Amino acid sequence: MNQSESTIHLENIRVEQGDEVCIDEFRKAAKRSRAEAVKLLNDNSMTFPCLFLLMPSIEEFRLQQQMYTKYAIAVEVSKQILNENYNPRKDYLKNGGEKAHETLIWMLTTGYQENKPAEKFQKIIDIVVSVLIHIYHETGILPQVAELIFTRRIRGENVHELIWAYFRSRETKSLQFIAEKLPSSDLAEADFIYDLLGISHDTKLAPAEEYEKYIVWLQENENKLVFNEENKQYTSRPVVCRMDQIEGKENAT
Amino acid sequence: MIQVAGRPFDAAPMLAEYPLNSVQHEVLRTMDQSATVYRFDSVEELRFTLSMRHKTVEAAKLQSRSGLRFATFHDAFCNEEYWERTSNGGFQLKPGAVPSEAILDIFKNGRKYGTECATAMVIIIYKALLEVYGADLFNRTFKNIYLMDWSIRQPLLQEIGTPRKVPELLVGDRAYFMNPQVSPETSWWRGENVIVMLDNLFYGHGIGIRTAPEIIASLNRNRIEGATESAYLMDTAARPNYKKLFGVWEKNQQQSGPLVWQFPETSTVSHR
Repeated sequence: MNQSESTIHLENIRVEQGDEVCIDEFRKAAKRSRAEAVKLLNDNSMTFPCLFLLMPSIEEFRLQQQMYTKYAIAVEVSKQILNENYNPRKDYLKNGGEKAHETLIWMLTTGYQENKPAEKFQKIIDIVVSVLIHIYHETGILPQVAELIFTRRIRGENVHELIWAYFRSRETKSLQFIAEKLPSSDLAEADFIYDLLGISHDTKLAPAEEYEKYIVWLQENENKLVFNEENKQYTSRPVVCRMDQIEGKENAT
Repeated sequence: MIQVAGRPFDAAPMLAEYPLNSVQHEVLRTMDQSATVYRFDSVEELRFTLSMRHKTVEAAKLQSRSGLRFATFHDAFCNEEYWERTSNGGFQLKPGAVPSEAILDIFKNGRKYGTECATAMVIIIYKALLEVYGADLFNRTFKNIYLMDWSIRQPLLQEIGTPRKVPELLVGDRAYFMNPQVSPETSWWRGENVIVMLDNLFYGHGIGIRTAPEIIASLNRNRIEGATESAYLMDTAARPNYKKLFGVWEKNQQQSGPLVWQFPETSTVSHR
C-alpha cells in the first residue's frame, strides 16, 4: 500500500478505484496480518456495500469474530438472507434487540444509494426494509425507501418487495413521500406515481397541480384512510388504501 | 343460470356431451345451477370458454410436474435460448424466438426456469391459449411475450391481472390465498396465486396441487411470530376476457375456411 495504514479507508478505495482494487487491497492486508485487515474493517467510515463486497474475503480469512459488533451482525444477517439453509448463531431478523435494529438501519442508510447493486445485495436490502418496518415499526426510513423505489424503477429493477413493505407501514406519510415526487416528475414517472397512490389523475392538470390537489385531500382525510393488503403479487393494479366507508370523503380525483 | 344470445340456455344436452367430473361438465353445471347469470353471445363462445378452462387446468397439472422452480424476482432465471431475463426478474421473449416454442419450453425444461407464483399463473394461461388457438394463431396473436407477475403488456390478457369479487369460484379461475401476517423475512409468502382445480383442489406454484386447508397451513407456517390471523382464500377471481379471446379465435376461423367449431378436447363438432 502506498498510503499509511491509518489513512486508508476501504470505502474510499471502493468508490474511487472500484470493487476489484478494494478487494485486492483488503486481501493483501489480510495476507500480511489479520490485525491489519480487522483494523481496515473496523473503520467508522465503512459502509454496507463495502462490507458486502468483502464478505467472501472476511469469510475466507475468518475475521467476523474480530469485527465491530454492528458489522459482524450485518454479515450474519446477510448470510442468513442469502442462504436459506444457513443456521445463524442468533436470528437477528426475528428479534435482535437494539443492536440489531441499529445495524439494520445502518445497512439501509449506507446502502440505499448504491449505484450498481448486485441482485443479491438488493435482496438483502429488501428484507432489511421489510424487517425494519414490520418488526421494529421503523417509520424513519420511509423517505429513503421512497427514494430507493424511484431509483430502482428508473434502472428497470425489481421494486415489488420494496413497495409492498413500504406501504405495510400503514403510515399516511408514506403516501405523502411518494406524492412529493410529482412536481418534478416527467410523464412516465407521474404515471408510476399515480399507480402507487391508486389515483386516476385529471389529464388537464400538470403533475405539480395534481400534487397540490392530492396533498390538500390527504390532509383532510388522513385519519380516515384504511390501508389494505393489496400488492403486485395479487393484482396488476393494487390500491394500497381506501377511504373509510363511513367517515371518508370522496377520493381526491 | 346461463344465457346465450340473451335467452335462457338449456344446459342438459351439452352437459351430456362431457364426461362427469370433466372440467367442462363441472363448470357448466356450476354456471347452470348458479343464481348468477352467465351470459354468452353464442353457444360457440360458451364452448370456447369451457375449452379454455379445461386447458387451463391441464396446463396447471403439467406445470406442477414440469420441474419449474420457485424463485423470487431477485433469484429468477430462465432458459436463455428463448427468453431474456430482464433486470427486474421478468422474462422477455427473445427476438426471433417462436412464442409457442418458448412457452412449451417452460413446460418441457421446467428446471431451467425459476419464478414466483404470479408469473407461473400467466405462463399457464399462455399455455392454455396455445392449446386452444393452435400454434399458428397463437404465434400471430402473441408475438411479444413478457412474463413478470401481473405486469401484463398484452392488451388481450389485461383481465387476468385484475381480480374481482365473484359469487362463486369456477374451475379454471385464478384465485388468491392472502396471508395478512406474513413473516417479513419471507415476504413472498404474503399470498399464493392458484388455479382452481377439480375436486376442491388448487394448484399454486411452489406448493403444488393441494386442498385449501393445506395451502392455508403452508402460508400459516410463514407468519410473523405471535401472529393471530390465519391465511384465507379471498372471494375474488381473475378471469381472462374469454369473449375477447373467443373473438380472435372466431375471426381466425372465418378467415381460414369453413366454420368448424372444434376445440381440442372434444370430438363434438357443430356447424353454424
